[in-house]
Amino acid sequence: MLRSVFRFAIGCAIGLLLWWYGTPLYGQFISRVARACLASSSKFAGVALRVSDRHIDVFGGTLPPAQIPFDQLTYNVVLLLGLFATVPGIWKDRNVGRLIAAIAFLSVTHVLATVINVMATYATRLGVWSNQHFNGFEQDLWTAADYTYRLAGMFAIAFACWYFAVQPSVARKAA
Amino acid sequence: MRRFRFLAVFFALLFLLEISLLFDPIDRQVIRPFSSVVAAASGGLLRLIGQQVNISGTVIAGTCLAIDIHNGCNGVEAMMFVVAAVIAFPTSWPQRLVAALAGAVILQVANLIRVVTLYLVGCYHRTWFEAFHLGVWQSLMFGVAVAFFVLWSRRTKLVHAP
Repeated sequence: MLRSVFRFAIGCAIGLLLWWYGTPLYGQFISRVARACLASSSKFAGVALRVSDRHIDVFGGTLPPAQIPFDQLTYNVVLLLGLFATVPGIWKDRNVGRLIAAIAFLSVTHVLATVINVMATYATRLGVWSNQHFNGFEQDLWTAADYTYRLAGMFAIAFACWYFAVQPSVARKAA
Repeated sequence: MRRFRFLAVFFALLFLLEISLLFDPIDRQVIRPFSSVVAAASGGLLRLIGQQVNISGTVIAGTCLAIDIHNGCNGVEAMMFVVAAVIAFPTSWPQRLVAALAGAVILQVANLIRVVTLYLVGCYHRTWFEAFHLGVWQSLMFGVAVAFFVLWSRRTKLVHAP
């Protein structure tokens, strides 16, 4: 038990350093993929995303400029690494592969979270522009998606990655 | 296959619980009064350790910092996480109820420590506040929630659906 707590703390510390110092570089990668996703929507034709320290600036075309708090969408990596660190033999080939797969999956969700956050920002926080370009249903939809991700969804995703990948005893019991 | 089922039920319940927070009557009648209790308890603890703070509704205000307790800082999100996980787990309803209550108590104790330490970090090491607010304490809260669920699920008698 104490060993697991210690391992969890070490994993969280590594995740925290990675998140804190890696966010600007990681943001470059995520914003490129997110831009491609956003550009497929006619509302966001010509959109550009630029990483500015821990934020992403959104601009381009006829869009009013907005800023996305990118670091607030990605800190579930701290929990993910903390949970994976509790797994005995984490450096064995099979577990390393699972960890890489989990991080890759998490990155996909970070792209989606960035797209959702941009949508929610433009749908609800830009006054007249928002009301002209998004109807009530769209505004509710993007707000709900952004809210559920940021409140607990992002941690549920990290938990699910770990639970599914490397928690066979719990999973067996749940089965 | 049942792992998928557990995760599907878990995510569906968590989504419903989170969405419920977006409804104004629930926010006004349940969440804000609850957040006020969290603020009062945290403020009381801060006074006990010598901090001069005033509590007004969900706000704890001191000479160096004011913090507003709302969703994301009141521990409700981690409580919902545990409730969704124990309901998704195949066991009896009395066991689920006990686990949900026990998990809520443990998480609220952890949340009190979170609010107090965040206030102190904000006062004395302002540059660390953001990292502690997001990266450290949110991860610890959900780490506690996951640990509680894992320990409980390992000791709980399974009930299989007929």
